[in-house]
Amino acid sequence: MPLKRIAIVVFIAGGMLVTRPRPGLAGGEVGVAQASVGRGSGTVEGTIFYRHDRKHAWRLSRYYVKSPKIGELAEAVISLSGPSISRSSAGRQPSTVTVDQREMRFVPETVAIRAGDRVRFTNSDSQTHNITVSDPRLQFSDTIANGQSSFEAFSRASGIHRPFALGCKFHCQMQGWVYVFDHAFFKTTGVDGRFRLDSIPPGDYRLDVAQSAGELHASRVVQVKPNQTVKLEIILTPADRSTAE
Amino acid sequence: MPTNSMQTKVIRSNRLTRRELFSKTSAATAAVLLSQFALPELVFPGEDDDEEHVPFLNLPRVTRKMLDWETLDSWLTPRDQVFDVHHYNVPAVDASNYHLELTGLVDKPLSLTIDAIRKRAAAEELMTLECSGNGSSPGFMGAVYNSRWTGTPLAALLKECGVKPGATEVVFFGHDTKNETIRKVTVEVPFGRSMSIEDAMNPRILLAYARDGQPLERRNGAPLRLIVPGWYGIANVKWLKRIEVRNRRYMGRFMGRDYVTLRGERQGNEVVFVESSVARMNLKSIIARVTRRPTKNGLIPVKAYGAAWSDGTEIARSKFKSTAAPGGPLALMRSRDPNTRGSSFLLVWAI
Repeated sequence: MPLKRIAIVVFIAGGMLVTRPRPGLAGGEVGVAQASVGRGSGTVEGTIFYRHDRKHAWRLSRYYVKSPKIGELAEAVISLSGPSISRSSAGRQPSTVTVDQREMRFVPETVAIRAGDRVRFTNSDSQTHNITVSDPRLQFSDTIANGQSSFEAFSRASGIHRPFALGCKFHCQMQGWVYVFDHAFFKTTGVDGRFRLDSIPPGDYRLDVAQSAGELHASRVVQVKPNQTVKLEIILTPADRSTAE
Repeated sequence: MPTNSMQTKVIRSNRLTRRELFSKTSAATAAVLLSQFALPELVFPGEDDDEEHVPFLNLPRVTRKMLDWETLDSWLTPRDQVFDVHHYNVPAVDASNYHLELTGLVDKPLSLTIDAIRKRAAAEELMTLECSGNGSSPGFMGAVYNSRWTGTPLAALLKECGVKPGATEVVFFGHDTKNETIRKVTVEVPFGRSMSIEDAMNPRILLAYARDGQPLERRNGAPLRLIVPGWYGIANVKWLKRIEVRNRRYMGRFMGRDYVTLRGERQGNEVVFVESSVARMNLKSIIARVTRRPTKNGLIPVKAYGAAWSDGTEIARSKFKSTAAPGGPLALMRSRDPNTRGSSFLLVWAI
């Protein structure tokens, strides 16, 4: 009886995921599942690309797209959502990531962390800087001089759609984002645009991609099977651009 | 169409002479110029299909609220590239409750609402506004922008109020304030900058309420800011609250302690070091971006696009140098930018 009930839950959840409309499903997706026998968790891996359009040029693409012809997209955050996601953080030690302020920018500009993790802000510039988050869910304003640090805990998940935006109250051009998740299934792409999520319980998920600097969002439905790897190539275009979710 | 009832000079000919373009004349001329050239045109040549951008390797990433030199392709700066700097706070000034005070050594002090200011004769200035700290570090190279400002000329307002004999300075105070400690005394002071009566009577200075046809953003001084063509950003007082005509030198922080330049001047056989307040913009130029086309006959065709700007003093000539061009011609061209008066911002390119 318990098995049958689980199967029904999965089926219903899958149906809900599929029928929810998502903007900007661009083409170019390739999904290949390697057949394998046995129970276990699955893997989702792939590459995020950006395809240019001269008519709707992305002014900043040169910072995030490795080669215009191929289009590997850096600093894109990928995360899974679905009922099979475990939100338990039992036994997990919070970790600390460092975000520096140098040459009048936050480095790295985009970080993705787990709820409960901390960010250590440092200042490598000669100027005094400040880190401000002004969000209904979280507020702080830390002013640090050269060589100083400040620590902030992010206890509340932001989700993929509304990361916490960083600013400096002295230098308007500084920008950054902190994505906070209440699960382990997220990644940020490097310059090669690649990502890999392991140890995923089998099931149906929605995979979301967000690239804050380009205001790009996309979404896919993925089915994770035991001991299988889903391979994805997700191509974002100017059509996937939106300023609010 | 901006009008100025104080002006009588009329430019009849459609072809403006070079002298007229470069002379510091009235707001009426500005109105006529603007009617001739609705908007300064994009003056870089169109990029060829095989023209490829060669990125700078040693500049840090610049994403927003800074002029993005490497994608420069228009005279008016796009809104998301317009910078703002503030030393005190960023006040939220309620335009509906707003009064500009004009007071001090004047026959007729005034208190004007924004509506009253907007009803006055309007003029426009196409101006380059630059932070005097622009270029001070590799991450601070784009604190400059071009805009069209709309407002009412200050000089006409001062004349209406009647400046009293003996007055020497006009001081501009903003709504932004801070607790400053001055020689062990801590007091709350408003942001302030001043200039001589003579400087203040420049007919091109505006009390501006619109930028590029839109009401000012809070970060750029809403609802009213001073626009002083040719002077660095520090002189373009934001969140204007009070204009005061005085007979004693105003020595606020941003006149006497910060934003002070030191210069050695030769006097006879001596060099005398003199400090003065930051005011007029220096002449500057930059290579904004470099592009290349496919290699041909062993040479790479390269184009360098750039800009040059100043306080309005006419730029006599510009030169392009490269250590990497052993052969082939190196021609420097200047844009046919019709707006070459005022804070001139020329778009230039070299092949």
